[in-house]
Amino acid sequence: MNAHGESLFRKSLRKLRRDRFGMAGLAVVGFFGLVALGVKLGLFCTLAQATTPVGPQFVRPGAAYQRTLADGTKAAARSLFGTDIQGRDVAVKLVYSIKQAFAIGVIVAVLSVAVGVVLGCISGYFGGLVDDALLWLYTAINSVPFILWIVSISYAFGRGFTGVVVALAATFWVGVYFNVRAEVRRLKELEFVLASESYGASKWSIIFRDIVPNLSHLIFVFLSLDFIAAVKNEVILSFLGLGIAGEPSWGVMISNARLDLLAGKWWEVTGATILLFVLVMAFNMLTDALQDAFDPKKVG
Amino acid sequence: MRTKTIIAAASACALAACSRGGTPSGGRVLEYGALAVAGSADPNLVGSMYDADLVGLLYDTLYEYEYLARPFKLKPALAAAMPEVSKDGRTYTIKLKPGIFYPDDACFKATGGKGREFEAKDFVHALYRKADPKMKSNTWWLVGGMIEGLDGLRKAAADKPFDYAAEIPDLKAVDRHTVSFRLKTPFPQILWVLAKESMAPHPLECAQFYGEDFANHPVGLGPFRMVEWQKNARYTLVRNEKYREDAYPSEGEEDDKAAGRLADAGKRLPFADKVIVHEFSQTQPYWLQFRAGKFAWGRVPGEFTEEVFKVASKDGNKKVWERDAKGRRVLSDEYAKKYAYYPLFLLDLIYRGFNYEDPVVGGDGKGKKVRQALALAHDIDAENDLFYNGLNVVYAGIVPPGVQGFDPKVKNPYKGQDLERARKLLAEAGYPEGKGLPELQECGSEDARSVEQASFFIKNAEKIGVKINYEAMRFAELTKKLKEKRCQIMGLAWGGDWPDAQNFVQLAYGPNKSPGSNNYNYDKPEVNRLYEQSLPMPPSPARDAIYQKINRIILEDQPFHGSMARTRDYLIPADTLNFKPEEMIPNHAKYVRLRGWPEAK
Amino acid sequence: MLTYILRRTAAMVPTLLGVSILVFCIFNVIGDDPVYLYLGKNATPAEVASLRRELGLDKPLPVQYLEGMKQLLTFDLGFSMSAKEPISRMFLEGIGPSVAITLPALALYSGISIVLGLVCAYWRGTLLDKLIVAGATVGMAISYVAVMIFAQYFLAFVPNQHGLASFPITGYERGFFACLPYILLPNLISCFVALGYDTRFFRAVAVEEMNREYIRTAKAYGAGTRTILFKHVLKNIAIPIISRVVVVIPFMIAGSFLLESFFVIPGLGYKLLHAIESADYPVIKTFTMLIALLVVVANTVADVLSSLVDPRIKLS
Repeated sequence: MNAHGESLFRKSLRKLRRDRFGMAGLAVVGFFGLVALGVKLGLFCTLAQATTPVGPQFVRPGAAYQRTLADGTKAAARSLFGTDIQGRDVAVKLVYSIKQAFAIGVIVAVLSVAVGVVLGCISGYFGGLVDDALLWLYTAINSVPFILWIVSISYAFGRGFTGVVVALAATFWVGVYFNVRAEVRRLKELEFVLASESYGASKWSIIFRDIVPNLSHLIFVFLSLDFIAAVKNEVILSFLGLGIAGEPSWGVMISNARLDLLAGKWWEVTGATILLFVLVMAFNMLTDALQDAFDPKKVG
Repeated sequence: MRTKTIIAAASACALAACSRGGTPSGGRVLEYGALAVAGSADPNLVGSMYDADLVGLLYDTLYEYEYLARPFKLKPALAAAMPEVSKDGRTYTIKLKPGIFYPDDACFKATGGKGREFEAKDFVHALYRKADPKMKSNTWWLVGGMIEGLDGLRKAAADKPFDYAAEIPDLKAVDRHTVSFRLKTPFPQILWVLAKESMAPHPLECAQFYGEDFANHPVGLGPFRMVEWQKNARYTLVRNEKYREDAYPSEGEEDDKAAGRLADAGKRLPFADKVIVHEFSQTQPYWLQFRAGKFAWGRVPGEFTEEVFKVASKDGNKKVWERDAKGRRVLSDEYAKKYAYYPLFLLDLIYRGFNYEDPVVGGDGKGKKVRQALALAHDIDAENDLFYNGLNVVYAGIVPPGVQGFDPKVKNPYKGQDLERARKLLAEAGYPEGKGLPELQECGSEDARSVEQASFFIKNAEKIGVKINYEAMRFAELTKKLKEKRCQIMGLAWGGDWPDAQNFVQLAYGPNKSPGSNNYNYDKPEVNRLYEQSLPMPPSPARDAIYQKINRIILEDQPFHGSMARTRDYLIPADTLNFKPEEMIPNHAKYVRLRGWPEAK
Repeated sequence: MLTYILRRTAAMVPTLLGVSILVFCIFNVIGDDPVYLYLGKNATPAEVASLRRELGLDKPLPVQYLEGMKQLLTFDLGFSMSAKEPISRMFLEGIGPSVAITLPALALYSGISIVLGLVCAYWRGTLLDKLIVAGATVGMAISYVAVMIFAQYFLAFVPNQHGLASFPITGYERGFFACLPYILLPNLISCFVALGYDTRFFRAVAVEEMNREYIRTAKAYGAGTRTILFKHVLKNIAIPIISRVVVVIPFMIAGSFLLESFFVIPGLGYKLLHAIESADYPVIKTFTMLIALLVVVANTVADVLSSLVDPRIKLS
């Protein structure tokens, strides 16, 4: 069975590689990811740089100004993407925010998919009381608009990175769970699983060796979907005053600088909006390609 | 069939608008915006400036501010004259104007819905409602602890219903149109208290008729009455036909004449037949609406100051504003065509406090040196330039400019930025370069601006090696933490309740510490003694001297630093007449007239 | 049929119970303490204790939960602490504006996206399909918040500045005709934001349907485009469409936080947001429960409707 999974996977990869839009999306996501990693490792645009003023407030993009260097001396410089209210470099903040977006996106996506897949497998494969209980929890959470949960949970946890991540992951897993559960229920009736069962394979080995590999399309798609949703919801939470405090992020930049936009200081909102758009767009293209490539019904 | 669906949809759309009473015809409609929403129209539950603005239009008080007079002056409103005060300064007797009637309302059951005459007992009952613990009044502090009998009634009502029929000797209706009360100790500021909208008399039977819903069914003696309230969005008021005789003031400041604010002297108030107030919870739409010409006046959000006024030059973040011969800033051309402007210097105190009871930053020993060092590390002028366009007034200590007792000559001995001295003090405290000092916590609100401002302070503190973590929190959480003394450092603002230095100096009085207004829990016997000594004194050079003594102690102890008073820029469209901004005065809508309105009959 | 409806209705109870427990845990166990907020600037500890007693916050948690449930069940919804209104009135008043800014958008974008979805599915792989999908993908990538900010600025503010009558910048009027100008822009925005998602959703649904044997057979037998799309595909994807549309209604109504707070529309989301900001427990709890009730009812309705369309569903 494993061999079958392998070849399916390879086939899917080949299909993915042929998808020009998907590969373009992957390239952009990869580039953003590398930048995020660089920031994380402290190679450039560190938190200190993103929060330290380098010149007067609201320097326009492209304008000449006296830039304060790290050692405190000043030098004539040309602004790349302007400065914000405290005279911090908007370009540095934008780049730093890529790391923030990836931190939130990756953590939320991995958490919610992990929880969703594990619970979905348990629920779908074992059925019975566990299934009833989990389904009950799913129904309860699903009965209230997500935004309400997200706002309530991040409200209860207080402002900050943890609050945002917990709120988003605690809400997103249910989507994964429900789809995985349905898929597992379908898979467990298929010949190859029944065959493994008749060979006397243990339940857990069936789940991990036969079922989970066949969930790869769901896993990839949900990782990517939840990543996008997390990044976009961070912006909404910031707008509602529930986002990350103390560190730059696109959401914080958009909601803080939206008044400045009307006063003609467009660069901060616009910069964050554009980067957010590019990343989400690339991810959407990647998701589509993944969906096309990994959907078992379409492979082959 | 088609009409039916439309009607059904229309009624769904119009679900339960609380419309009451008709709207008088006429084109005299005044519209303006409020930058936050009002929650309650009950004088007993005035929680914010925006509640106060609403209540001030619906209710009348015994005394009110002279609209144009600065420094502030009070004049009788519902009262017939200024109060008679006994020699010991404790007993006040106030005659009320007779023949003032409430608007008709279903709550006047005895008269079949017809509004009855206003009587002295209404004032007494209004205070009873404040004292009634079940009413959860948030303005009990205005009178709490001042009148012995009233305190007694409140205590007695702790576990049984409040006795509204009770009569007490030190707060009573002497006759139908006279009230008198006796204070425990002399308190000359009580007159300002009487002018506060939350002290407005109102009919007890109406408050009881509507119960908790009285907050939405105001029945008052003010110039307007409410016809519609879309909570959190808009309220509509119409002229109260039964409003007392009230005329536009004939005296004002020098500027008022020049600005044409005295042209309507002696005319009957209010001018408007209808007032529509749009409530906002965000500045952006507020500003857009104002710029689109919808409002009779507008406040310039700080973000737009640079667009509205001409900047002569910039030195880093310091803006030098172009000024005219009188020293006033100059509107940029686009705005000058449409608006006049009025800078309002608020009576307030923005400060960064340090919990005086905290083992690290509190007390008189090491903590004091840490506070002094942090004050020196911070650059308050730069903060002003960055976040307030340099328009705030930075001052020393606790008495703000604009009240009697303010002394511009006083200097703050720990005004920053002086990093060298700051480092030295920190070392003296036993934390050279911040070594050994744990990370400090600062509490503050979560709005973008507060977070930015705190981060600026934190960056400055880092320069001498002090690490501070900012905890951004919602107002509810912040209040709780403050009241439970769980904040180490706190960025706060105190808006004056009345234009008297006492209202600010009390912030340093030990017994007022949390959950009182002294949020940083400063408690120094010498200051307490001086404050108690000053309490019975009216504003006078002698009292000013005591306040300055207190100020000097505070400046040495630095329980808080960074005193600033905000400036608010109001824009007044050319067609708006008689508008004179002042946030102590809650009922501008009564005085304002738009050019081209037909004369009142 | 009746027993099915009854069974579905009975199934609502445990769900609502679950929601109530979750809401209670979030707000009463980890949330803020509202007491100080309501006592003004100079509260004394005695006043704090007495208010806490009055609100029942001093009782053990299970007791607090049961009392809250009792209030809900007896429709004794109580009074809002911050807005000082009966909560039932707040809720009823909020429904109108919320419906007005979401339902037209829902109808509009559902209609458009179903048609686009069908078109894409039929001409799958052609340039037209690719263009629509690309457009939808671009639409999905634009941030809701950014759409609001820029739409208000360019469609309402800038025209107003130049003296052109366009959308009102913010505000709301009650009444069918009075509310029209105010709900236009918010509806356009939510339509714009949702269009991308829905087009892709319905495309996916339709594509799956197009791949089925019987469609291939119908195509092979030379059935016309219109017949295939509207007779076969649309009929067979009616169930996902109905359930998506019905289910999405309460979500949209309650989820319009952003639009409502940005355009100052006194709907449910706006009121709830205010309640959250001012730690107004009674309102938050009650609103969440009532919204959950709406969603659960909508789900039930969707199920019943689906079973009407396709009786086989009942069996599962």
